[in-house]
Amino acid sequence: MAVSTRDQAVKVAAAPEARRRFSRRRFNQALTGYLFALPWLIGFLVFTLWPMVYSLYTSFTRYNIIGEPRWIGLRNYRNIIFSDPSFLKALENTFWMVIVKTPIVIVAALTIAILLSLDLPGERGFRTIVYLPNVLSGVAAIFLWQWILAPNGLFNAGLELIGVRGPAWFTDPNWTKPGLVVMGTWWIGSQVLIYLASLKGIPKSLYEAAEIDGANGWAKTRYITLPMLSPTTFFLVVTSIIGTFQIFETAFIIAGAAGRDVALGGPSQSLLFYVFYLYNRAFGKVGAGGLQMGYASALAWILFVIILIVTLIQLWLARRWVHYETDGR
Amino acid sequence: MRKTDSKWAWRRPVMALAAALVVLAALPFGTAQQGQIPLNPEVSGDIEFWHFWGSPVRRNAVRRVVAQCQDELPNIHVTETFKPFGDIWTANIAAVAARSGMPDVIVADRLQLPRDAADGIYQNLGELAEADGVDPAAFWDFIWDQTLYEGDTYGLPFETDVRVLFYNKNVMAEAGLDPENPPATWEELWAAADALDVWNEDGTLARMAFFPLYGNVGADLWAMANGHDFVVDGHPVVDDPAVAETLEWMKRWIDRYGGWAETQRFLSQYGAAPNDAFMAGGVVMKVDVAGYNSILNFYRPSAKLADGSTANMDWGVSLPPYSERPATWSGGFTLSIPTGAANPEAAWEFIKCAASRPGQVSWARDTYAIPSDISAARDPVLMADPAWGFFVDAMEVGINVPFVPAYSNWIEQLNQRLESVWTGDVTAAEALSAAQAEIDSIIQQNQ
Amino acid sequence: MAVSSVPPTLQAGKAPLLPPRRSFSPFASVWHFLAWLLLVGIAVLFLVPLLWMISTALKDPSELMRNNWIPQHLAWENFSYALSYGMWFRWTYNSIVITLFSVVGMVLSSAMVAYAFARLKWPGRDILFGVVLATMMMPGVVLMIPQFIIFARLPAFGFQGSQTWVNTFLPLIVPAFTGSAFYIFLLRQFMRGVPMELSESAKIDGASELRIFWNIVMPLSKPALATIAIFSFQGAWQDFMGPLIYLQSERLYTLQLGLRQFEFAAGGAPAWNWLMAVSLLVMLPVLVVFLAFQRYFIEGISITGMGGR
Repeated sequence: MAVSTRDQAVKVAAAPEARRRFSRRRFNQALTGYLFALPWLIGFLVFTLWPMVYSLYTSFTRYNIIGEPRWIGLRNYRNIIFSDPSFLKALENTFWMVIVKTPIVIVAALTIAILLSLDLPGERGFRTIVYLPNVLSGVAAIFLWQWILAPNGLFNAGLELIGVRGPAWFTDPNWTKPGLVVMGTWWIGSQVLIYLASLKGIPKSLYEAAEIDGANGWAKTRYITLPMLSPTTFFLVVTSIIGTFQIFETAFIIAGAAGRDVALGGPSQSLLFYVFYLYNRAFGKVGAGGLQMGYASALAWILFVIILIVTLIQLWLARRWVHYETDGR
Repeated sequence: MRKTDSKWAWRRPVMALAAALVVLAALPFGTAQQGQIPLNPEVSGDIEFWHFWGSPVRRNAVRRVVAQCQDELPNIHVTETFKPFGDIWTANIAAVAARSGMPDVIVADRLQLPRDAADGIYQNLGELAEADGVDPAAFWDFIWDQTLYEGDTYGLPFETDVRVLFYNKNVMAEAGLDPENPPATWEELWAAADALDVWNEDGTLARMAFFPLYGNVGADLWAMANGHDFVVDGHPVVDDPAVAETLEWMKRWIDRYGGWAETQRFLSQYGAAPNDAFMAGGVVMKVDVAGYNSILNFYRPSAKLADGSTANMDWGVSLPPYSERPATWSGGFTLSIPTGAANPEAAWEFIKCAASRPGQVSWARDTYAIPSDISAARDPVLMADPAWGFFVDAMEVGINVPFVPAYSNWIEQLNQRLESVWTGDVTAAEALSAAQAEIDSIIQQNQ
Repeated sequence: MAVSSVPPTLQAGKAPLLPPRRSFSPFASVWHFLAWLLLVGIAVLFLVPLLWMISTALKDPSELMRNNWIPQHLAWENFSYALSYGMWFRWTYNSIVITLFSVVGMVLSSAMVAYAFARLKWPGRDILFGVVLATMMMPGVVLMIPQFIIFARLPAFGFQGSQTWVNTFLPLIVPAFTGSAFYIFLLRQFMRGVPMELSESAKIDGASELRIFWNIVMPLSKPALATIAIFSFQGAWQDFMGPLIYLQSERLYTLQLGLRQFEFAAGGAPAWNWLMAVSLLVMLPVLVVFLAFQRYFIEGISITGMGGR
């Protein structure tokens, strides 16, 4: 690096008199560096580090914010793990989404990306359309999907055309989560574009070499495309899982539709995802277990540990299936 | 005998004297209107008032009450704010916790009030009420008691409600049933449905006689009508044969109409009033609060007759059909002051005005909320509607479920398991024992 | 650990331009045609919800339950009714203010901090950069509760009529001015690619570090800055949980909270035609920004690998 070699050169030439100047310069350098990094430093201390410490402390207390926190040791953790069926339900729902939604999103995104990479006419337009839903998210889009997935809505009308009688999506506890998955596949634009970018980065020479060896289309996909894409796939799997662990808004709006009590977590708690449950325990109605900041903080830390473990497992698994090019990575 | 009498009788005579003096001092400023809690029009300030009444009739009625109180209290300026049901309380909790952003007056859920009071969310209004001579005897006993926490009130009761059966007389008559004698028992209801259900040629449902979950009603009311008492010796009981029987009865209705998904599909064809299933003729009988009468009055729906013509819908009201005993229940709301509110003095004046007889009557007039003030409930203004008296009478069979401090919202444990019973994934007995186990464990944790 | 979560397409400092068109055909051309038909089908499926929204927004209540596409009567009055209901103009203003400040804050601060990590040498830099990467792994909800408690205790001295930061815009805006770990990371990778010689020669000409940052590195980082601006715009405009927790007064609501409020105004089941009408209006600004800066969106997503949601 240019900077460090120059520094060394200066150091070698340094005379005792110059050293004072030099350390002054170093001080200025350090000052400039810290000044530029200051916004983040402040943010880290005030909005991350301190909250983390405080949250850890709170998780060992009983605290409703209005009164004073009361130290209760491990009781929150013990209650959550051993005697809280809603916690188990929330974990079950969350893992269901992680396990079902992730592969569907990955396969759908990869398929569309491969189609887009074929250089077909109108590729730019297709790309725009596929990405369009991603900008149309938020509460408005959730309303739209509630409406489309109404028992007599557009989606079921479409199913009827192919002779399938659609379910009562968001009122039948067995179909709420599949409803979210259907909804979720509308928002795969970013995954598609990321795949597309790495597809275009695969050297053409690899395919040419394979063609000389007589490989057919499937063989090329299986032995060149998929391995070359595996780092991208890994990235998408990791981010998708972390994102799915933190579903809130969609579940909150749908569970609260038509004046239902959000504390119920949707039909038969089928939409009670982890962060939703955490929100209810922190900010929900007092009578329904809300305003228990200590309990909710403990839930947050348990989630943190779960995400950490899941990510570590993936990193470990990744060694078996993720193929990195040797150069530079 | 009023239970509340004893609570007020023990107060020290000095306090009573002071209260009497304050009342006397305040009287000349108050209005001469009967039942008006004395106001002090000298109090000034801006107050924010949160409620969850966003529909046209109610929003209008809220504004009417506010305007009325503005006349009485010229130095107070009230801003009324609509917040969605549910969000209104979570937003208030967050604001109280943050000591910022809470309203001065909020409509509070009476059935959750003591629990919230215990957590310090609302201000104790006991002394103010006593000082201003608020008479607990003016309110229904059970309603006043529900506002108390450790003997002090945390909100003046503003309104109550009552669940009754609404039925479509045109359709009843057309089907050969007596429109003046709606089904009173579960057996009669089931039999009436045979005459009222209509199926399309393709086997799908065209009209539902009755659906036990359509309207403002749930398993709790039906279990009460099946003779079940939910709270015994201060402990909630849901795992009981009477409840299991009730759930099975409800499931029979769901199965009658083709299962949970089918019923949901059928009901989802209908939207909000005036397109709801009852007004649009999709459901003939429904249980709802008296307030539904105001929506019917507002939209004046028409009924489609078999010959293709339409007529003004004629609807009747009666008690919800029962199995063991006629039953209904009343919820309702108080006007309370959140902890940390900026202007509690002005808030209190506004609450007194709105919760007094004139305020309550004005609010009830077209919303069909039942005044929580007993004499206001039979005010001539309200009794002018011949249908009105029935709603007040219906409260006679009201069943009042005692408050459980250790777990006030225990009913959610039942409610959150019900859909699985309706879909048939879980039997009623399984759901009930699971709910009971969790209620017991939470109560044990909280004690 | 966090480094591996960078898509392989991210190459330090290379401008994220679309790669040149390249023909690559594992299939015969008839397959290409079928693939093209498939794409057309997929594109239609992706557009249908949006079209359905427009169709519903223009329907009379009487037509709502019929699944027809073209309303018999174009009910434009749905828009005026829906708009007459709430404080939509106030809420739009609030959304704009919050979004504007968050975007400006996010871009400026992330750029400054990234500059420090990418182009300055100072003791502790590499350790702190490790900390930046580590915070990317931290789920937001862990911080949600303590942050609320902190904001609930910070005095606001009557700003927006509030005694503490809760029920003001501050909790939604101020944190943006401390940057975001992910954006800092992205910009650092990008800024490292700007040739160091440019800074060197500017320094010899006597330019201050701030000047080099502002006049040389910032203009050259425009594509990455645009990407960050767009994503933070989208994030702030569509944020729901933040306003839900921090804004209690109706006059401070954002459009997202306003929408939820409107859903309940009808009392009970929502009136879908009105709901779709306002939803459409709320989506409009994002749609316009997307169509105007489409290139940045699409290139941005390719380099960042950050999902829109």
